[in-house]
Amino acid sequence: MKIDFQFTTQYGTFSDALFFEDDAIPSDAEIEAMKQQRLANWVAVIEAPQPNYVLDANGNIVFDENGNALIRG
Amino acid sequence: MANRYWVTGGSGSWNNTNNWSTATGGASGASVPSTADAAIFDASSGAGTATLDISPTVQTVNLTGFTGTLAFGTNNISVNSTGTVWTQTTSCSITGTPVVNVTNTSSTAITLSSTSVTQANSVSFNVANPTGTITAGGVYKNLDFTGFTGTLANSTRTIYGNVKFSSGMTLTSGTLTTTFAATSGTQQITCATKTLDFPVTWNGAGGTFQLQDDFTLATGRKFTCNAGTLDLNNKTLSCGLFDANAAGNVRTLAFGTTGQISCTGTGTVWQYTGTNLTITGTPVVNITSTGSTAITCDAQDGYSYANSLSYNFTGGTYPLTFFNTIGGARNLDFTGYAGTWGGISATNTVFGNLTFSSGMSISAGASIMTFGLGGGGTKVITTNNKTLDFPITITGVGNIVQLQDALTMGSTRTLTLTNGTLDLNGKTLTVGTAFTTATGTKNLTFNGGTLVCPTASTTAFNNAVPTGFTTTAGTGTGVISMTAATAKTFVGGGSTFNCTLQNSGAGALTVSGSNTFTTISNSVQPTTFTFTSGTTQTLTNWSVNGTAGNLVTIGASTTSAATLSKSSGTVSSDYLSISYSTASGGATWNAGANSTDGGNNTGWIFTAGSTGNFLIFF
Repeated sequence: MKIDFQFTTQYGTFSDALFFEDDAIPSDAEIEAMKQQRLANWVAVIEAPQPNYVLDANGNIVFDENGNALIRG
Repeated sequence: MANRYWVTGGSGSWNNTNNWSTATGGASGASVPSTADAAIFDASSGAGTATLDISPTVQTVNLTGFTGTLAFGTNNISVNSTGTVWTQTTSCSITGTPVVNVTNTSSTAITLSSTSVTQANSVSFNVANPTGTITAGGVYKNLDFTGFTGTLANSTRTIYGNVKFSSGMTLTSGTLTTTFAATSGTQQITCATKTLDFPVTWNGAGGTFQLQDDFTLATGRKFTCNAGTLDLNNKTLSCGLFDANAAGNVRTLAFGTTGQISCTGTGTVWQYTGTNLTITGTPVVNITSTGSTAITCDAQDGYSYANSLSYNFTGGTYPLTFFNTIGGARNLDFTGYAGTWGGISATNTVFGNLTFSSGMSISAGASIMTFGLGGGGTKVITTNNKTLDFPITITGVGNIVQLQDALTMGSTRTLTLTNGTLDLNGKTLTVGTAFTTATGTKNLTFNGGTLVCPTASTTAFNNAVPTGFTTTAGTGTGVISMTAATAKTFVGGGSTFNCTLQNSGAGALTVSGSNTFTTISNSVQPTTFTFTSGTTQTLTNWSVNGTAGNLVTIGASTTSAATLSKSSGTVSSDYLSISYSTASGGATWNAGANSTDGGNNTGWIFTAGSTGNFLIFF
């Protein structure tokens, strides 16, 4: 079973989904807790302090060939 | 038991006393060997052809040292004794359709010795009646155990033809390998529910082995694919370890529509290289291992959609090494897996669907995972709340990669849209360092979804290659949300964005390029929009507002104005501080009663008291 859900935040709408086996569907309270946990995790990502990126002379983040931002050790 | 020696110097028929003697190289005239005799062909039997003109029953047959030919034609030989009932070496030739029936019904051990025989000279055996142990080490054409209730000992054997095991027989375990080696035609393997507890090698360049039912090796036993075609024939091949790493040999794996390979062991359960390998059908590999012992799945396939395989990791808590060499997978499904995947450590492609499980962990990886290549249609990604801490590239011309739930990337990772459509499908995509476009025909479809760019950088949203880039609103309202609390840049590249561009962080949002937006908005105050001087942002809606004491600043990148253009209607903002801004296009641009005219503006309507510099009282 798939449960789509969303929360409106200052960072935009957080839209996600929960998936359960049909014979292992949690209670409504557990599902709500999962939703809140997903939201909290996402907000934590948004609000996490920026990594200490390596910057070039123009202040731009330096990336490697795969698109990974370089971080100061 | 009496011995009868083939003594003709030339060629002759079996059922002729002129060809048989009681001694090797002796005088002919002995009776034709029958049910109580051993038929012996040896070095003194000459190099001629012995032709079976009947289907005799003898106790045993011994061909050691015989340099002639035993011509079966359509007849067969029955051996009715125990012990070594058939002895064949490389020196003699076999023609016709050689079939030997092993007919003894006792439980005494029986051996079929066929050493160093070539494929052309191999013989088929029907083993139905014995009830004891059969030792069949050597080379065989067909082995048919239908009806057999005894035991087949583990031996090193090579089989060029069909194999039929019986459900009532026992196969002993051991480390000696059975090799299927036909180099032509289609040979059939029937396991009759028996588990084979010994290694099996498939090594028949030019030949095909076709499963007639499910083929199961015991956990811990390896199935090695060296050469030829393995036709699963819609059946399941299970083994502890599967090794198809023989890149130098031409191989084909034919899955059919429902054929699958399942690996049950630990350690390196899957070794595979796509070089010289052809995949047909719908290829599915199940890693059904359980427990916590480490597992490596080495999938050096997937250089193209055509020779990629789908992998299902169905259980276990084991540490998993996968995607550690360049390769890929068609569909990749971790449902049921609850261990830690060591992450991607070499560039890999998921050509089809990707499903992570909620119980698994994923380590970070610096190599790119590419989605969407080949195969056509829609490919879906289900993250189950896992952070994808590796770079992602979407590139599949004409294909769609669609989110099934929120996708959040690691903070230092970039998502690159190169080809095909990325459909947010109403879900939230949170990239790491940047969302960027690359050379190709690419589309971002929202269907009500949100793209979140959280990084404070000059490339947080980077439409680096706007040529060929389009956006589609779909159903609902799509949003690109720039959330950094410090300065960030939206590099629009002059494209049309059928969505809302929302400044969702306190940091100034610089918008470069002359772009078209459905809406520009903000969700926090105070904040700043800085538009590159000389550019024009064409809007359907302007929804930017501050609050008392928290003005939103609208400005340009230099002391030259930037233009906002809306073709009709009325803009109703408030609590803005505007400078170097040209409001145009035909709409009425009301800055609001509490907004500030910072100067160098055109087209904005500042109502009384909104300049911020002085108040006029009437």
